[in-house]
Amino acid sequence: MGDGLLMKFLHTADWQIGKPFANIEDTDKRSIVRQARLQVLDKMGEIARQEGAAFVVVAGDLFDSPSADKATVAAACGAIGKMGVPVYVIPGNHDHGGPASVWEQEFFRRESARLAPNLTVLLEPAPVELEDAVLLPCPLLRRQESRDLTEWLRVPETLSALPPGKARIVLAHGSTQDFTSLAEDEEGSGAASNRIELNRLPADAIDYIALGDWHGTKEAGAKAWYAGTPEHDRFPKGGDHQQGHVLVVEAERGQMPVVNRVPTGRLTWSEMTFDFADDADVEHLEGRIDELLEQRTNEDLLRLHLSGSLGIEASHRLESLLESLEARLLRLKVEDGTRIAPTEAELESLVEQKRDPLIAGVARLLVERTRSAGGEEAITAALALRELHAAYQQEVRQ
Amino acid sequence: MRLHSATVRNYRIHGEVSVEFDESRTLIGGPNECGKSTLIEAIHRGLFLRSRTAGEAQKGMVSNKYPGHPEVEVTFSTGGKKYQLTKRFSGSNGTTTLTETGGKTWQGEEAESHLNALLGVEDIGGGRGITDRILQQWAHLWVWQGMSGSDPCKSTAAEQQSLLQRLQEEGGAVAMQSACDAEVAQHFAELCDAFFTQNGNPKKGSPLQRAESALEAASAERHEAEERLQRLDRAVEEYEQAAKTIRQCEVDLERLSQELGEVSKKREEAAKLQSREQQQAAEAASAEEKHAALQQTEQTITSLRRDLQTLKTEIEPQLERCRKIQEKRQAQQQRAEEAAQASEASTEAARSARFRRDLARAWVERFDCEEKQAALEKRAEQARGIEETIASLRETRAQLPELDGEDLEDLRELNARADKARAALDAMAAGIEVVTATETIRIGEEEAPEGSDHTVTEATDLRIGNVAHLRIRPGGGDSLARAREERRTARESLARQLDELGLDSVENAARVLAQRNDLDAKIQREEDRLEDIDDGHLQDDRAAAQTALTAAQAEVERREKQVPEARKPARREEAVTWRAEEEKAVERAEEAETEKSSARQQAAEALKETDAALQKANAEVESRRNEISNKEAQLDFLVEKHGEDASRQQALKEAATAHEEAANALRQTREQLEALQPEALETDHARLQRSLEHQKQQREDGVKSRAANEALLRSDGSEDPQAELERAIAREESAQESYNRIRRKADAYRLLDDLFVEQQKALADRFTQPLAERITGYLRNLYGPSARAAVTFEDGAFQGIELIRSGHAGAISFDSLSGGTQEQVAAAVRMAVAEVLAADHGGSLPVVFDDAFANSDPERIQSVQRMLDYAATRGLQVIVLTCNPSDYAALGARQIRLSPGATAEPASSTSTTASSRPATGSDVDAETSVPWSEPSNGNPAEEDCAEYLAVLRSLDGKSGNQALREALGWPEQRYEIVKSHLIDQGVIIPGRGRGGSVALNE
Repeated sequence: MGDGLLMKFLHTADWQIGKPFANIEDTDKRSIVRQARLQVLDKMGEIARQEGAAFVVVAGDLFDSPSADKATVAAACGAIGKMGVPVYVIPGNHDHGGPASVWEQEFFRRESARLAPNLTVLLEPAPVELEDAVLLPCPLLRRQESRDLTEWLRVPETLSALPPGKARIVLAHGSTQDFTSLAEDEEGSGAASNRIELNRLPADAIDYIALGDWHGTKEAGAKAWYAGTPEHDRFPKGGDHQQGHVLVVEAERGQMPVVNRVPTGRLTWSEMTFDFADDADVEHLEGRIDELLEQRTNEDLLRLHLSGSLGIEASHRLESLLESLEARLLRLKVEDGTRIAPTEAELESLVEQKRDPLIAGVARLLVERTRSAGGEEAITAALALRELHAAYQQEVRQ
Repeated sequence: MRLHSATVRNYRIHGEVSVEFDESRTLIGGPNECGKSTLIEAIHRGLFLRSRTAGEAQKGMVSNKYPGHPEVEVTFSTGGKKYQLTKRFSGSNGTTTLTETGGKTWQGEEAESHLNALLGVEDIGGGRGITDRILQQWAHLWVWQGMSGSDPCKSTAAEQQSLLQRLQEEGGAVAMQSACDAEVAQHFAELCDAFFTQNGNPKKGSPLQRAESALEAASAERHEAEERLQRLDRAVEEYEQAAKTIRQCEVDLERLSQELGEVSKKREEAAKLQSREQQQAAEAASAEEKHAALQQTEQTITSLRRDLQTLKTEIEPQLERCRKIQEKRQAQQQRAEEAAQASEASTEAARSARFRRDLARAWVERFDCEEKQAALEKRAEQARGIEETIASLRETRAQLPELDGEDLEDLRELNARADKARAALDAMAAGIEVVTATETIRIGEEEAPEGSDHTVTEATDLRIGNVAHLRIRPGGGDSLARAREERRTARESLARQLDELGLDSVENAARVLAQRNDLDAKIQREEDRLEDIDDGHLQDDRAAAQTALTAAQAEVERREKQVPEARKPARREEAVTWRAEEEKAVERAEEAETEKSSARQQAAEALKETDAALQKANAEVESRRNEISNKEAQLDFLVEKHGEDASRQQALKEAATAHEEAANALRQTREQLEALQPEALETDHARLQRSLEHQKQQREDGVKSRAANEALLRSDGSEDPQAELERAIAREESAQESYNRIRRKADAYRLLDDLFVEQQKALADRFTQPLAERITGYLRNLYGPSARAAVTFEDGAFQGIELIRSGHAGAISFDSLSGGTQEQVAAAVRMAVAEVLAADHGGSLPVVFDDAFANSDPERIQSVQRMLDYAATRGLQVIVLTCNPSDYAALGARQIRLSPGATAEPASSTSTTASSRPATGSDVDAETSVPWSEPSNGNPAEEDCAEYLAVLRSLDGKSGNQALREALGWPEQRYEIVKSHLIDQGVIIPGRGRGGSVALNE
């Protein structure tokens, strides 16, 4: 045991409440995904109570936007108010401070005072002394800040003036020296400029650095952690990208913090890659997806990378498979690199037949094009071939 | 299929006409309205119109000249068999009979359908519109009059299918598109049409266009959302900038206010010094002025004293000069008066001298006048004497007879004539000399004494007593009498002339004339003398001399009054001498007068000069005196004002000291002021105040900007622009994706449509090739080996015929060809098509050209014949109808001549006949009411020929047939008979053109 008070708190970040998920076209599904970001606050409140956490620190990006609308603000304040523990927040790059920011707006002040009296927004880089800890906030007041906002902590006098027995908790939002969130967002709007130089901070004078910005939970250095977002909001990148957690931190002045990650996420964001070797692979893909989803509906978001080639019939089958998946998933994002390559039988039915010489001639020209031309022209030719096939089949059936 | 013969009965203008066709080439000639077209129409209807057709079509065929129902008989062969077809068009009970030679016979409907099968046509029924519809049957083979230039593709439309079929067969293995092909192609054409407009743009309202619009709208929204965010970002920047400006301004204002305070203090100090400086400067100036004034007074006094001294010295010599001039003036005045007196005296002397001289002159004048008067009186006396002499001479002359030289000459001539007459008489007379006488001898009545001599000039009786009575007859006969008469008249004239002049003889007359001449000379001399003395003015001169004398006397008396004790000269010489003396005296007196006057003037001048000099000298003296008194007054005034010399000196010294002290004080103040740099202080002050104002303004602007931007940034939380942008981006992406998908699909449809069209065309080209080649074969007959035809196959039909000729720019579409070329090319196409289709009709088909080359020129008609012959060699049966059969003489065709109402005659060795039943009432043209009967021997009446030629001449010897016939007012038949006859006679020659023309053969 150290010479200070041992205390427990929850470290979280990147709630990004109000994120539009505009890519989800279905409004009901979009609403489910948006709603999940508020519902996770209940879960965290529960954990805080269970763990006996003194307070919750949010290391930036509570809102998805610096100009969050009133409905979002009201919903967030309501959810925060229900958490029942003090919540300390710094603005991040998504909801940075500044003249126009949500934090400065009248309706925010009103809503937070009414619905979330337990919420404190830290807009100045100055120590905040609590009953059993000192918060050292480094708030972002603009989307991109070229200077290191933790530099005020490098001044020895700042820290030496703090009460000696209370754990010192830094709150910051941005990328660390050896770890950047560049191109982190799905939209690729990562902020490379908000740099935090962890190694220039006086390690001994600080007990925990609560970081935000990186959406996966991640230890960024001694005493420094990214909490990650408590609810998934994007397709995973690489293996080591754990989203949907909150950190329960035990800290004490002069001691190494003890950090526990507790899962909070509810939605599943998955990614799958599949290469078609023959037409039967359409059915294999279907099996793989069934395995992934089990019996769930409206809980999953899937990014599907498809490649290889399929016959005309098979491509129609794939199309209907994707259509049914689209209904079942919250979101299906397909990156379809599949080529349409008519099978021998299909070709024969078009090109080699003698009954309808005009169709055979046109089909022959299209096949040539799919083989000799490249890019868009080949794609159009393949599509045309498929259309021709379909029209012909229909005509023949009649 | 070939036509062999045809007979038409009771069909419009035809009572009955039969023609036999050549297997390959038939030429049916005949004038207009002879029924060529009607004949060919009848054959066409025989082949294609159901015999039971009723209504307009049937009525149209009925003849209004020939009773009975229209009938058509046609013999033809096809498929190696020969058929005879007979149709009677009697409405609903019409009959059709078709008989195969040596075979079966069909009747009625059966015959009709068998006929259709043989001809390869569909049944087109009857009823309404049949007259138009029927024209479609074999329209590609039947070139109706006036239709030769129409696009042959249209008339082959009905044959497209069989044509395709044939061509496909000819093309060998060429596959034809299947029904399924057509369906699928149509499917994609429709899809493509649903997506794209004709020029390849997305069609309005199509999914593609909607997706495109949606994408554009989404992009615009995204752009708008971005701009809104940018506006907010700018507002944030401006807000921060304003806040920063305000802070900076506060700092600057503080500093500036301080600086301004310091400068203000120094300015006050400077102001005080400036005020003092002003006061001291005024004092110094005043002291200086006072000192200067005293100095000035001193100088003035000294100067005045010096001036007075000088003036007083200068005035003395001036006074002396004045006195001297005064003296000189008095002397000069004396002299002037004396000179004046002398001058006046000399003037008086000269005057009296002139009086005396004038008196002397008057005297001389008086004497001159007197002398002149006396001379004139003397001349008057002389004149009187001469006048008396002249009067006496004239008296003498008046007593002589009036005779002049001429009169004398006349007398002499008369005398000479009398002498001459007597001499002549004497020469002829007989002389009787009484030598002795015893008896009294009487000669005539007169006694002739002895010794007397007598001359007998006429028969004179000589009696000697009573003894003898003799009659003497002088010789000469009548001449004697004439001589006697002559002598008598001469004597009488002379005597009369002398009596008139009062003379007795010629000699006396000569003497009188001499006397008269002498007197005349004397009178003349005296008159000349008188003239010398008096030229006619003598009397006037005498009166004038008297008047002058009286005036001169009066002048003398007047002048004497001016001259006391005047002399009275007795003679002129005395007066002249006196006058000379007086002239000299006057000269002398006037010289003296001039001299004295000049002296007087000189004296006056001199006096005037001296007066001026005196005046000037006096003025100078006066001026100097004034000056002296002025200066003395000034001096007195100054001394009185400023005191005497000593007190003045004291005051002057005191003033100098005061001046020096004031100047010193002023200099010190100025030095202090300069040290403060008052100008710099002013500019500093202005600058600082300006800066303050500026900063205040900036701060104010900053506050305004901050407030304005704050207002912009203040949100009511109703929306989130950031989230809105994300949504807009997502929508745009979605729209893009959707558009890409539709676009790709649309492109696929278009590609399919394009490829289908391309393939169809490729297929079509393989059909059109043999047709184009065939057409080319025909065209080369017309336009030479380089001509070529192109045909396209589109939308399931042949179309777009083009003619390609060397030397012409590219391919020319049918529509762009000239009228003549159109009918030629159309014919080529028809025959090519017929050739292709002939395979279905036993290798041959008839092609009928009714006046089909009306627009072609004569040279081209030659080529047309070659083409028609080519068609015949290719198996076609060519039938040409023309009103100018001679044009087609080179076709080598069987010629049939059709003439109205007449039995057709063989027109060539290979000809056949077109026989026509003589019509009851003949083929009288309804147009004319003139009764006309056809000549029995075929030759027209001479009157008709004469009338024809007369009317033709009246039309300049050239006319279209129609126009000429109308001018004649003849029926067609009558016209044609006369025309043909005249052409045969070589009187007129036929021309070309629609309906033909004729011209006098001259």
